[in-house]
Amino acid sequence: MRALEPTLSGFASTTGDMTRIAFEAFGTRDAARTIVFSPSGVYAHSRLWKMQVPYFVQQGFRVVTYDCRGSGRSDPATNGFTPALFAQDTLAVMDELGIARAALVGITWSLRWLGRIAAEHPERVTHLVSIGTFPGMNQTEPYGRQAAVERLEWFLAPSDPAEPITWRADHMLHRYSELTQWQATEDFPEPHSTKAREDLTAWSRETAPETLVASCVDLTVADDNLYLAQIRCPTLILHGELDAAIPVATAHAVHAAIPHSRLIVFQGSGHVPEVRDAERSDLEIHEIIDDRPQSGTTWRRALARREKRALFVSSPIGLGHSQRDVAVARELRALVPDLRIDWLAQHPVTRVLEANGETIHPASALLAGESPHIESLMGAQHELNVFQAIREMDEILLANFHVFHDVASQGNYDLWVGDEAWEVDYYLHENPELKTAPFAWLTDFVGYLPMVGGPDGREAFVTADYNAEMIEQVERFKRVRDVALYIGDAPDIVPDTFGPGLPVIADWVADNFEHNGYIRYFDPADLGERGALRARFGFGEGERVAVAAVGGTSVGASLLRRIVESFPAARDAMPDLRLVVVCGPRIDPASLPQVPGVEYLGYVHNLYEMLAAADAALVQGGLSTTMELVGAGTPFLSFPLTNHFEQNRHVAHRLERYGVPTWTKVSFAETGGDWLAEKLTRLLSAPPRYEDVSGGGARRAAERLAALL
Amino acid sequence: MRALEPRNAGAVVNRHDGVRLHYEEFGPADAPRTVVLLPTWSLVHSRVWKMQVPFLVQRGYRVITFDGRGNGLSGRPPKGYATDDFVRDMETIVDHLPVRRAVLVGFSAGGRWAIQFAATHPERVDRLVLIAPATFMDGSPRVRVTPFTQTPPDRDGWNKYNAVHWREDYGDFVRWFASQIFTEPRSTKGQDDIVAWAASTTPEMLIETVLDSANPRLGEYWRALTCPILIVHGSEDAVIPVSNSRTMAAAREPAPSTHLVVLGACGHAPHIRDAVRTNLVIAEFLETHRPAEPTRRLQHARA
Repeated sequence: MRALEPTLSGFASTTGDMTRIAFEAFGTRDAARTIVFSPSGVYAHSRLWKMQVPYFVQQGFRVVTYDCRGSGRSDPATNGFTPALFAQDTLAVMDELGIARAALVGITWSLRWLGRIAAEHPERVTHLVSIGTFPGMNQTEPYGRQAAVERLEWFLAPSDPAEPITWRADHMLHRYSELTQWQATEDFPEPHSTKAREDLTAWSRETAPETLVASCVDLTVADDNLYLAQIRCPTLILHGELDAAIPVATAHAVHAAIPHSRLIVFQGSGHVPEVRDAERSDLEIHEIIDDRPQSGTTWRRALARREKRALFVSSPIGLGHSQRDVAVARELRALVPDLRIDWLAQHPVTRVLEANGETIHPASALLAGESPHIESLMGAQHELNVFQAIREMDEILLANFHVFHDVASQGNYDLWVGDEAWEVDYYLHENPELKTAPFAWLTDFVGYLPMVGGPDGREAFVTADYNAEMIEQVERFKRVRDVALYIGDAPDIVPDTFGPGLPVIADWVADNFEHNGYIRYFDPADLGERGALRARFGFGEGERVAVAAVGGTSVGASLLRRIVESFPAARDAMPDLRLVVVCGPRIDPASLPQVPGVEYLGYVHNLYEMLAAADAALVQGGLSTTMELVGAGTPFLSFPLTNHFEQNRHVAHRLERYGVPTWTKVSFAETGGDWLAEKLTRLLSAPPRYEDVSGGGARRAAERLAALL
Repeated sequence: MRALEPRNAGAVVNRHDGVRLHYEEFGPADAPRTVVLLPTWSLVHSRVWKMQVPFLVQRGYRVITFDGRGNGLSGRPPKGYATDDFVRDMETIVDHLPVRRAVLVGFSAGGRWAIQFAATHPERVDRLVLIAPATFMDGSPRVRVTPFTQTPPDRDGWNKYNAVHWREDYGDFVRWFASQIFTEPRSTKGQDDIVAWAASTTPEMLIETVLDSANPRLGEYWRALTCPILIVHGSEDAVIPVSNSRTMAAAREPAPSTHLVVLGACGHAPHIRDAVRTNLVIAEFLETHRPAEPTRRLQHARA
């Protein structure tokens, strides 16, 4: 049985020669729009369109198919086969059914009559679609009149019976069965195409070889008007890249010749994509007929996509995400060798990615700046309420989600990874129907915590409200996060709840995340012998070197200033003390007080090596840098940004469990008088011993991502 | 910081009454299409479009916003808040920039300016998008002068929508009204923004806007429009019920060019609270000659 039976079938007669053309009409007569599908001539009849008819009827169209003269149920051709006659036949069918205007869809040769109708009777054609297109020999380069004659001579010449089968008269007349089999293989080069090939073979065997030869002769010599440039309706040229019958170059030429045309190339497809890649073809045809905007110019059939593709979105708030994501990406490539990873990222993440030779998606340039926004909200006194900063960033997150959505919906990705990519996670939960690939979510903290106003204050209410929304989203739409990795272990999680009446964070994380363990992106053991490492940076035997560093943003400028100002007193207390200040890419060393004995550096690549070589480090309270120091065993003082909930609560809690003494967490308010001398003396006289940071986190995360691929 | 800074910003004076109008222009000057995001009630200013501007620019449009009189960086005349005044402001802006032809997007009260402008300048309007339009087919204002100007029986619910109450406790009214705009759960950010923007105007100016809000010819203008029209309305809108937009759409039947999209479980400002979906609906309308179905209902994720 067919998927859909015609509502009407019958015959239309061309006024000229009374040849009866068999048609079938599907769907309701009063549909607002009609599509007429034309065969390519006599080789295959109207059943060629069996994959299109039911879809377009479902979509509310009236659909008409017909058999060309000399094939199917239509009459034999008594006056030959010219494009003009085929055009008359098409119009006769439309007239018989009372169709004033229709979209015309055809394959190969049929452009010669459908295009002609569009050019000569523009009032009858709303849209034109030509698949595996061939416009006739005198229309486009490199064909021409002479080529047609030569081709005809070759077509009609007797052949050596031993030569391989091909598309010429001798083989049609004497080796038809073999020819139809060969042709089906030619037309469907896609693997696993047995059904399509058998259908085509069966249909073509319903046509008499003599008829096929006659139509080929007529259509080869027939002179077409130069009609392509006259076509004014929206036109779609759809062509398989592997088309062996008509090279894709012909489609490019036709596209160039028709003013309002769009070309889409199906990569990995052969001559008859509307059969072998019917679903995608139907969608493309539907879009052009609906006048919907078109962006892509190619589509690659699924099984022709050899490489797998992942899209990584790495938060630009803090550099640590990018380094751990690069480590995960490296492990993931080892597990999935054919993987291609595109990064949607912005400064300063892109700096790390570029240094590691990663591929940054060009749409990254469209992202609205998150890091500049955060920096703009910095207080003068080492203060940043990062929750409020993220909350004020709503329009930026939305704009960036739209960029993500465009990239993700066009990129055929097999996996999306978001490392604290808040916009992706939030808006996918708000718009779950936009999710079209597996999504892996990574974060090193869960839960906004209030920093100002006390337990009854506005911030406590709003952070709880945000947490509650996140909990509702995740629990209602479990399908959004295919994998959720907490970058840490259970003891790293703060003892708090999400807010009044809300779950205990640790319990909820246990239910809704996997504990991945920390992701270390370098192994301290790889740094080599300590003396040699120190020598690399010019750190001598008889001196104690403190390195102050504040990451990739300008956020730490006030802290650096305070450290530099306090240095003379510290050196008075410890004459062997040396201070190296790493300003990073966003702070101009000249903007800091120039204190004798302090060395100022700009950006230092792989800063963790220098920090590992130092006797002490002075850093902000971010997770990545402090955990680098824990891993390297370098004693450090950390200076969380005031009102920064993540640094003061989440990170501080985790550091405690790694043996970092609470007194080494220094608030900016404490940095007065002899504070530096006091703190550094204490730190260096009895350096704390930190717990080991276990390795393997990047590998574990990569294994979970690989399982989605 | 904003997601996108304007390419051009400035002010122009409405020569009829001398009111200064502050505008901003985003995206390429030579873009093939321009979208003007209209002011709405003077309770808020042009930042009410912050979730649309970057999206539309990314999709290749030139985007214009301007602060409505009475708020933002525009002038604050003591009187002169009728639809005619706002339409003259629009004329001033589009002549000044200039904008030959544009898509007009109006939110709530902005629907009134959009409809009157489109009806009186059809050659300058490409398409019309109305979000929760506060437009009443009989041209009536939202409330009558009395009881609006008289002391209300109590200060509960819509009795807060009252001149006396505004003068006495403007902050209370604004906080309550913000909660009526965003009826969706977990909408504190949207509400806080409204409250902040509302601080840039005064109850006296808002009272003028209410007293000036009748537009007897609105229904006539509405039926005369010839451009394609999209109405987006949240099913749970507590300020303007969705039934009002259904009535509007019905008033244009059988005109095929009016499309009503009802966003399920959304409140009065879906372009803020459900910006992703609203933006995609608008883009589809702007970029499609013929939406597949005239009326659709989209279910919100929360519903």
